[in-house]
Amino acid sequence: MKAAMTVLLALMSLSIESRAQEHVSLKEITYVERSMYRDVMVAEGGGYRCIAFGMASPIQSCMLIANPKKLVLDYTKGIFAGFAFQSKPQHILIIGLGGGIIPQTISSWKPDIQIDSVEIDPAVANVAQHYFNYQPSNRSTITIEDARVFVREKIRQKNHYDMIIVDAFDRNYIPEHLLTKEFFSQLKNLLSKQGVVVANTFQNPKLTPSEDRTYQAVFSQLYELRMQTGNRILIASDQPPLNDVTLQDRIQSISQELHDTGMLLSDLNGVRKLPMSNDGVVLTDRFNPANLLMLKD
Amino acid sequence: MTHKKTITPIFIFGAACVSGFYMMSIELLGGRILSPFFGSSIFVWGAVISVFMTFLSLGYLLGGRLSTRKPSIKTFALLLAIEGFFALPLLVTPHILDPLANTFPDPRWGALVASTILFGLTTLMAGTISPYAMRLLVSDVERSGNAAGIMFFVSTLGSAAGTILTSFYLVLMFDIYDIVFGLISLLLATSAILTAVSPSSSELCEDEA
Repeated sequence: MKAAMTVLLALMSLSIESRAQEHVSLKEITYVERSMYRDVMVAEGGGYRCIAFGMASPIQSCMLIANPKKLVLDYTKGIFAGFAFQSKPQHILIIGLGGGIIPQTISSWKPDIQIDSVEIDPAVANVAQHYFNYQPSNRSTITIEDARVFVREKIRQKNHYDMIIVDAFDRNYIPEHLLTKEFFSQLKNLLSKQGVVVANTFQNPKLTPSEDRTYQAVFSQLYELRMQTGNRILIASDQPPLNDVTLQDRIQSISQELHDTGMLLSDLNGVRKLPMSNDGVVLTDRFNPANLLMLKD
Repeated sequence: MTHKKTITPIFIFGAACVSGFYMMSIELLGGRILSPFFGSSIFVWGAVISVFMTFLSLGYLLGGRLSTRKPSIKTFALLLAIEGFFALPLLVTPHILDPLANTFPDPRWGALVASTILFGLTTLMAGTISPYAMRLLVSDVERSGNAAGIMFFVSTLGSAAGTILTSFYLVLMFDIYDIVFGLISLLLATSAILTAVSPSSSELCEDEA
């Protein structure tokens, strides 16, 4: 057990120290919440507190204990590039809660936004509340449910969201039913007219062409922000394309407004419109080798 | 007669193996067929597995009962064919699951009802195969334990093969409908082969012994 933990900590340090500007070195497992899916581990070190799922899994969410407003993981900053394409969202849906860092950051930046988060694992929601200051409220709700079930229910209720953030993937595993043409079509039904989907995913030479192609089978515009950490932020919508000057202006003002979180302009620079992908296949509910493609990395 | 005596049991064991393969392959596809509608939470897997276990157990009873009435290889082949036909609704799942998912917002009940409709009958028939095959194979009490042992061996090994092939390879290489179609074809082909090799009259293995 001890050996396993040492290996885990080594893995954690490795994966997080590989991020150039961050120096998180986790030394201690603070808490393990039993889960019917994957045990949720809270680990601390060097002033940081992070979540990992089980032993061999990379870090999911991190906060700086002394300053919880700081965004630690790069991808959580990258997500905010989505606001360049939908600058005044009133309703946001977040799929995959993690530590609840993203809803908290949005709420303190724009307190009037109504945020609904959906998370499949009750253990994750407990950890977010007890270790990451996430407090559900009328303005920021949490539902424990599979995203496909939640989305279907919201479509039936004729609800609409201006932004849907998909943060349900990790480097080792993709819930395949959340990466299909049918699912994206449901998201499109749930979006308001100016709505955008913002997704956190990963750079992978085998999966990326199919992933892009699947988005492009449903949405006319697909933008990408590649991050040094290997994350890839995708922004999909049916809006007319943004011109470069407007995009740059908006990204600049977002990074300024979120300066307190440690956001720099460089974190959001590099958003580009993707050309139509002709490689790979459109992933569907009937045929979806996403996890196999990831293995072939 | 000596020729048939050794050949026919092999075909019966083979058919039990194919049925075991088919059943676990369908069970694994079950989770994947339901997840777009009811999610991939632990409840959905719970619903799929409990439906399979329930209908399999009922199938054992039914198969045992059927074996007391003029058992023949032709009837055995027919059971396999019916097992395959009952999987045909799996080729039109969205038309069945879409209204169900809207009727049952709670994914637990939705998945339970959907599993029953989609997998209940075919699993029931899968359950009839082993007891019926036993009746065809057993010629005397002293050898019955051995025949039962081989029967459980081949059908469970078939199930293991169906599980690993489907989860490791098939779902990643083929469309779900193509896999279901392939599995139904496999059952029907096995049924046809059994019919072809079955003794012309109603004689059984035991009659030949």
